[in-house]
Amino acid sequence: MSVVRIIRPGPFSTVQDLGRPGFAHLGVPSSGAADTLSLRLGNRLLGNPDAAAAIESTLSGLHASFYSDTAICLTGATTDDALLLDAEGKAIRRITHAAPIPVSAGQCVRVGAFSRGVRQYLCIAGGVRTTPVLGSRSTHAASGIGGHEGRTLRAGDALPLGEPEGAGPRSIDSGARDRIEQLLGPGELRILPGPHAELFGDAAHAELLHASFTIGRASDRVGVRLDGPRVPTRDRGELPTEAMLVGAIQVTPDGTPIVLMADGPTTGGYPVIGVVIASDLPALAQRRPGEAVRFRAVSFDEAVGLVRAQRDLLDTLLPTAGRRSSRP
Amino acid sequence: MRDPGAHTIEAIRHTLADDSARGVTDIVPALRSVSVIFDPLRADASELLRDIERRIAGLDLRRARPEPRREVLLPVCYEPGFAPDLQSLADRAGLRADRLIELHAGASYTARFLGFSPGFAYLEGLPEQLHAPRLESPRTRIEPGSVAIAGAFAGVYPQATPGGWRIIGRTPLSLFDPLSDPPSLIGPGDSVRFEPIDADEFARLQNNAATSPPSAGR
Repeated sequence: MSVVRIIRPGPFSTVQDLGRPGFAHLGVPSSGAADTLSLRLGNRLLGNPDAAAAIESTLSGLHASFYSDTAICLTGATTDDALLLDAEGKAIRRITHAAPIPVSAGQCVRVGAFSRGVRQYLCIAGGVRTTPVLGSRSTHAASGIGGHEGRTLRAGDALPLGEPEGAGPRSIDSGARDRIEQLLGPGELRILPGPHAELFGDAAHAELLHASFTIGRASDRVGVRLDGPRVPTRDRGELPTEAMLVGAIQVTPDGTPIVLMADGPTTGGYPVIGVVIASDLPALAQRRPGEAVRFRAVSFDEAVGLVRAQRDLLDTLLPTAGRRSSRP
Repeated sequence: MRDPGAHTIEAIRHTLADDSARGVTDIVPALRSVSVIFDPLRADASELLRDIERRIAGLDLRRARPEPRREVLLPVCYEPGFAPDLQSLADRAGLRADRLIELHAGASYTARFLGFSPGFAYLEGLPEQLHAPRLESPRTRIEPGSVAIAGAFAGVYPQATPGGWRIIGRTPLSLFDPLSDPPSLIGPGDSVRFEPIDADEFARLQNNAATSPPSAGR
């Protein structure tokens, strides 16, 4: 079986696919790629199904060697420091962002610190084929579920790879790629009112929609903490625990907004003032600590339209392999 | 909001889970709510809402009998090495430690819902004398299997996680195994009891669990 072996894992690298829905009633978060748009993009460029698993790295990339001929593609966070190396460690070429390249047996991929964005996907033709757990290869490191032994990757780990299928790698012109990646660029994150929006006063809603927040340092796959003005809350801890959702903006008793991410808990007791819509979660996942975040309110119908438009754009510019269109 | 009770929440969850609509990914019970999580590209939201309302309106809560409840018996060692907060909780409640254990193990619990981490069940039925707030500062790491209380709830930590509940014992059983079916030893609505064991029995059961296949003993 083909494998990829990790030589240096980077600060926080895990196997992720499109997640593990269906087990929230047992307390299992969905997990999956924090930026599903970049995972889909990388998989489509390689001719993989959207749900093929890849390696998600955080702030800095990994160094890994391949034992069979395959193809790879780097999407998500960008870097000026991504190289294809031969067996002696000599650089063969630079790896261009979001462009699939063939890799031969014995060659290595080495990625340094990211220059823009937080999470990068090393997508591999055929996908990473660790054993699915509860229907997904995604890693939930806090509970030791999925991925490679339920944990972040370490030096020496060998991950099984699938056989490439479909038509194989393809390229798109840079204009089309830019249109897809603009979806990750700066701009306001669109939100819907949360289930507890009415528990917050006008001042809280005004603060949320008009203030500029910055991404807190203590942000991770569980949640993004927002530094900046406090959002006044009337919560005195009397809310009964309720189901939570990726994108939910919880407000802690001291007024700190926290946006729940892919590994966020399935239930929570803090009031939820708003919810970041699904199409804008990839952009949030790529915002670096210290970068600005602003919110804009949309209606439910607008939100569904934006999610659909994002999927349609991807389908138009880069249809999934072996399928002309997802729409009749 | 009034607590609708475990029975109502479970009845609603079951009627929604039966033949769940296209595009629904999760149905999540909590203390006073049932949340339906769906993919808006696969489900029409207003149609889904009408369907949910119709199903709930059609429920006769006085007659509806939810699925037979599973009974889960958890052996617990309450000895000091496993129970860092037992004595302080007993002092706080004005009870002797052995009386506290008697009360905790003598009660019958209902798993109201799961959350916090995979397999963590919020157990209702804690005797009132044992109600106590969370610790002022949470522990950064709790041993898996730690039996704990906070507020009016009892619970068991399935994984090594941080946590602020008061720990009064430990079970040698594995609470969550993703390779088992069902993966969680305790499911929503299940009935749970605790049974005191000594440290020798704890070690014996722990060894059994370590040497049997993952799904054994469920």
